Amino acid sequence: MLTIDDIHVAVNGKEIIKGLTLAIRPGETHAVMGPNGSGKSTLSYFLAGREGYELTAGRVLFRGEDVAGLSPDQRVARGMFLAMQYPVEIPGVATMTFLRTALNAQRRARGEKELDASSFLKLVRKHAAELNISDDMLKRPLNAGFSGGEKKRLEILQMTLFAPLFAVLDETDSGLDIDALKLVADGVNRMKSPERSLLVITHYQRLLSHIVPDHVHVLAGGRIVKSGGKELALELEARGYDHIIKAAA
Amino acid sequence: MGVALAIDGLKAAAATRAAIHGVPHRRMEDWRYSDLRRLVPELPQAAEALAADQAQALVAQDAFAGVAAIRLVFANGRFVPALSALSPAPALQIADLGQGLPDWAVPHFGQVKHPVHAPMADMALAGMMGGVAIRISHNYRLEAPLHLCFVNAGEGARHARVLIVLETNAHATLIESHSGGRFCNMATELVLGANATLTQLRHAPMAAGETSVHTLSAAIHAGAALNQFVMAEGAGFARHETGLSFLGRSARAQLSGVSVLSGEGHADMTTIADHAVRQCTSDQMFKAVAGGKSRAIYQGRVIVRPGADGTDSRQLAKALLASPHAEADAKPELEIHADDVTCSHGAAVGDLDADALFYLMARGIPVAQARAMLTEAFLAEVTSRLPEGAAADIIRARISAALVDAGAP
Repeated sequence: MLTIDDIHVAVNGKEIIKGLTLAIRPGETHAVMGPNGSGKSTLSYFLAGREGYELTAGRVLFRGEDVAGLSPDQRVARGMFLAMQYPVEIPGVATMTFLRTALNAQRRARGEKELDASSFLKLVRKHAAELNISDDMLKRPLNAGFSGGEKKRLEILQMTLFAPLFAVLDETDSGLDIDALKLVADGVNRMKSPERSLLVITHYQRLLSHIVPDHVHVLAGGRIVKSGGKELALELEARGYDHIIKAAA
Repeated sequence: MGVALAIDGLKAAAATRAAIHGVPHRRMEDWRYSDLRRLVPELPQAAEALAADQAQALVAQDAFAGVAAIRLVFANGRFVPALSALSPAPALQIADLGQGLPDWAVPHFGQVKHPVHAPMADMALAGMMGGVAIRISHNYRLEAPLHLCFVNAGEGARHARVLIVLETNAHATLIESHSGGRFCNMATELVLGANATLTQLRHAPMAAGETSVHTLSAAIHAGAALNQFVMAEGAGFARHETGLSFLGRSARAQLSGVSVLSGEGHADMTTIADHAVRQCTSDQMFKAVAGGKSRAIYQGRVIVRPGADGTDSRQLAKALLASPHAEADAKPELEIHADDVTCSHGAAVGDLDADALFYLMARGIPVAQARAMLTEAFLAEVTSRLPEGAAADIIRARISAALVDAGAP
């Protein structure tokens, strides 16, 4: 599904990711854990194709295609998705308009028929109910004045609507209380399938009790210093990053 | 008849005042961003009159030609009675100032105070080529909008004057449209009697090489309300100056504007709100999208005189630079001489928010479409102030079309 081959990524001329290699097969859920400043968010923005995140060496293949020349929207049309740590508030853009514009832009890019207003509305209502998202919330401007939990639920609603083949969840647990965390994790778990892969980026283990990974990687200093199964997350939680990173060095 | 002499006297006095200062220039504080003298060192000679069929053809092309309205046509600065509705109802009187000043207009015409010196309004009177006086009687609600339709073609100058008087509790909508012409100078005096309301929509497209100056002087009595929306667009030069004098309690004015500029376009939105009495509200919001090498300007002065307690004044000016060579200037000014007032002002100039742009693209929306969505969103706060109706819909459509020209699709 996704092959990250010894990538080096610089932001504003400063190298943040320094030789990272990772292979994710269809159906797998991987977790990347790391302390603050280890390069977690850089990795997620880079994979989404954000301007200013420069690949200086290595390559990324998505289903065999080098993504280097693809803009963020082209990556989405091919089935990639990033659920953001800080979803952006955009007053003046209505949430429903945004959702429909985004979904139809992806469909258009793939040569599929656009959804008409009524089929779109049905689809949104169905998935919104699963995530406890009210009509009122959907009527408001995009993310404007949303609570942290509302923003994250809207991210997962988008992920559900767009049905990507590969999704990165960047610190999806931040700012969530226990109930909201469960709601969001259930939403993600419903998406799991043998064709779909997930990359969960997180600082804390707690999200991984709900979204159980097949593989856990520890990111430090811009590279993966240790990989293991889901038990590695528990070990990190118990012993802290410092211990693991020092032991791996 | 003394009334024609009255106009001549006013014109002579205005000519004397205009001659002292000449064409305004950047060393005059109110004109520091708009150096009209550099563009027009000497005012051009009066434009030639348009042939009737040419004027009629231009009226048919007007953006608002399809709107059902009481239409008053000015062609190259001259009022054209043959293409206009004159006194269509007893409660609505329309007088051609070329025929002299009607008695009811004598106390108002040339008498509405502008809060600061307005040299171009003097020049519009001194060089007046055409003018009308409009009166809407007490308690009358004009259902159809009034449409002042200014059609222009060719070289030369146009100077026009308009007086609009809404008597107590009269209500109306005014559409102003302007097209073409090398140099246009128009000045409007507006008197809103107690509890009268006027909604004013002005659309002023300016092509490269065209220059226009609009001066509105409004006297607003107790409980009356002015709701103004100005849209400037194009690659020419435009100055829109509005001076408000609040003369009675609880009067309100909402001034809104959108400038969408391309090429070497220059739009200067200048306002002066003079709060001399208590409990009045002035609420201003101006937004600009500047492409090419254009320049968007807002300068707004709010004066709160001693005793004008309870004044509520808001000024917001924001500009979006759609090109690295565009420029925006904002100068909100407050002069407050009363204690119990609420005055706020804000200004911002910038590019589209990079985080928002990335967010939309990361959801599959291509860059051009994402930029268009964010630009419309930037303007939504002010365009949401447009009223319902066909004329406002035309302005909305013009804004969308102009954004494409400005390179901010």
